[in-house]
Amino acid sequence: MQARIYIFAVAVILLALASLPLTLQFPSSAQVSTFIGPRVWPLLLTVLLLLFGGALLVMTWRDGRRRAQQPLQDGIVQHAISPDDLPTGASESDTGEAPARTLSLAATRHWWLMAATVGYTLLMSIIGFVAASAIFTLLCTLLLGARSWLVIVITVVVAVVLMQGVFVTLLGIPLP
Amino acid sequence: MEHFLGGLAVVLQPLNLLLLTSAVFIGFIGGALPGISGVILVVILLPVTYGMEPTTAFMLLTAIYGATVFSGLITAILYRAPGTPESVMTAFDGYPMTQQGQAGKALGIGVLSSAIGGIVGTVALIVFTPILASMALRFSSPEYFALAILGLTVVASLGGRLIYGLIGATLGLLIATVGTDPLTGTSRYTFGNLNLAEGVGLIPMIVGLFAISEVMKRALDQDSHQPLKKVKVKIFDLPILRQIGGTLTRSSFIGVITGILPGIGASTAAMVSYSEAVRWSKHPEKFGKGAPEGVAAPESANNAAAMGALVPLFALGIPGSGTTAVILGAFIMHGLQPGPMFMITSSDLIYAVFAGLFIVNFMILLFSKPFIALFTKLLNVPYSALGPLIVMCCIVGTYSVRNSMFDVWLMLGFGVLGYLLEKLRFPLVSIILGLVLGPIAESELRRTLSMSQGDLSILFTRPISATLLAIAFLLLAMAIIAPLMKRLRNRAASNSSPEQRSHS
Repeated sequence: MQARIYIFAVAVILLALASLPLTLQFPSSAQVSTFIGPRVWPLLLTVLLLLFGGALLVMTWRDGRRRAQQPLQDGIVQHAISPDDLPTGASESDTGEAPARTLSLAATRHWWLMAATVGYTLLMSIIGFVAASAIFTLLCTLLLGARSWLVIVITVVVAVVLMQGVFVTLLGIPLP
Repeated sequence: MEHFLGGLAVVLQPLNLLLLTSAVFIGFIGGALPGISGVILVVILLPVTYGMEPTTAFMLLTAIYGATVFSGLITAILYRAPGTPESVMTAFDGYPMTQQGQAGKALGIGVLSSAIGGIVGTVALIVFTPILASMALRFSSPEYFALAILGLTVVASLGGRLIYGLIGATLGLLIATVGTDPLTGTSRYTFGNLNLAEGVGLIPMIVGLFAISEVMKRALDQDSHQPLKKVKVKIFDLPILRQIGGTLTRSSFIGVITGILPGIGASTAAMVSYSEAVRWSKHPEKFGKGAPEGVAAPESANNAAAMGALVPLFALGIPGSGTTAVILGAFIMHGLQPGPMFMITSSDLIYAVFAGLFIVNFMILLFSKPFIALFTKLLNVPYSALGPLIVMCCIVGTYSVRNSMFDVWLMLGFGVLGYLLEKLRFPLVSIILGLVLGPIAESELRRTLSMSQGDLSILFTRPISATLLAIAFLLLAMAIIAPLMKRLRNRAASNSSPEQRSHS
């Protein structure tokens, strides 16, 4: 968990730094007719982002050190639930141990799904909505674990009919 | 009052009533299915509403919104798989009750609490919106800027870790600056891409951050489906009512207030009211093991908050929660701008919506039993079929907003971002509120400084804006000090116990 936060903090700082040169190119207040130019606000935000990112970095480092020094501090039971304590449903642990990293299909399924979605979006513009949807549904049902061919076929047919019927025929929305 | 009756008259027309009922039904189904939430449903059905009269359209969308907040509890209680984010807390005590064979009782409490919370919320909605709107008519630029800052501060300080909230809000604000500057016409961060000239759309961001990331999350953990046994739902159970009465009252109020606060919605309301219920209870150890209050508190709060979140939306044009932000997007799509002026020009639409919501809460009471019986059969649809369907609906829905594939790509990008941020338990709503409030915050700040010729103190000398900023400051201060105090107290506790042990 700690590693992720570090990465996030660094990413935020990098984003802020990357936006800085872009932001400085905007016309300053002196150059435009309105009282405050278009540069002020984004510049303020970029600086704030830099500060917050830095703060997060420092806080995370401090938390890491504190946790290493006092591992028995968590004996205090808290009944009042804070939003931080909610289960997220994902298979992560809070003690900082890295989850078992498998590159198996099960562990990376969500990325495959995203890849399939990206492919679907690309395909849509090329071979049309209906065909692309059929392929996408087929792929995804397999990906997400359906085993019986009957179910898969039904799903594909229902999905395509639903999409085409509701969105195109009923509502007349132009689709690629 | 006449306004409300007028709205009621509109709603009770047979066609409208029929549409309302189907909307409630759709909302029930969507909310009950894990992975489909209010956000997704409203987005998917947004294109459906294009051809309709605005009044009907928004009656439907808000009805769906109200219905989904209720039905999430069904799977939360039965399977520990909340159907919507708002019902996460309900699973804490609801599922243990199912395990003890008391599923029917839990469901009944949930239904009753939701309906009561919803009615309280709707009444608050009807009463407070005009009041807030008339106050807002006296707002000028400094007040709007202060309000925007307050909204962002609230969501940053109450929505999770403060630093995350601050980063999220700033990110959202920064993303909001992408596009053409309305006051000078300068292009900012557009990289010469015409698609970005109008800025980043609200819908691609919300759908991506919430819906797509949810699909990705669900793709990763596959719960096994247990076939559902028949459950008898008991709603009106007098002894239970007496037991949970106090909880219901307190939680509904907490819900309404939390909902009204911009950016904090039904999910947070459920959490806060659960914590408060534990704190006020004489038997706190019973929570988490099947305490009826543990179901009543979050469910009444989330429905009340859902209604409350519409107050700032209608009165000020500022969404009270993530889902209401989508409804704001829907308004914009129809060419309408909610806010104090809107209350005056389109009060019939607004009161029809209010009346509709009022009726929806009664429908929850009426239809929940048959629906739950029916729904148990529907639940066996595997996610492998639902998942792609949801993704496709999201894509079509997002595309149809601007006929733009670019928006779809944006949505996918936000989807990945949302998934990654969720792993950090990052409050996504802060980014969304940043995007929504960004344009307001910036333009009003610039106008304010224009008005005062560069003098920032104008924000503090005007009474309303000073009050709003003071509240914002207080919230920030509390959010910073509270964890520090907790840490000091913990350290004191652990420092004293070794001493005690060595003395004994």
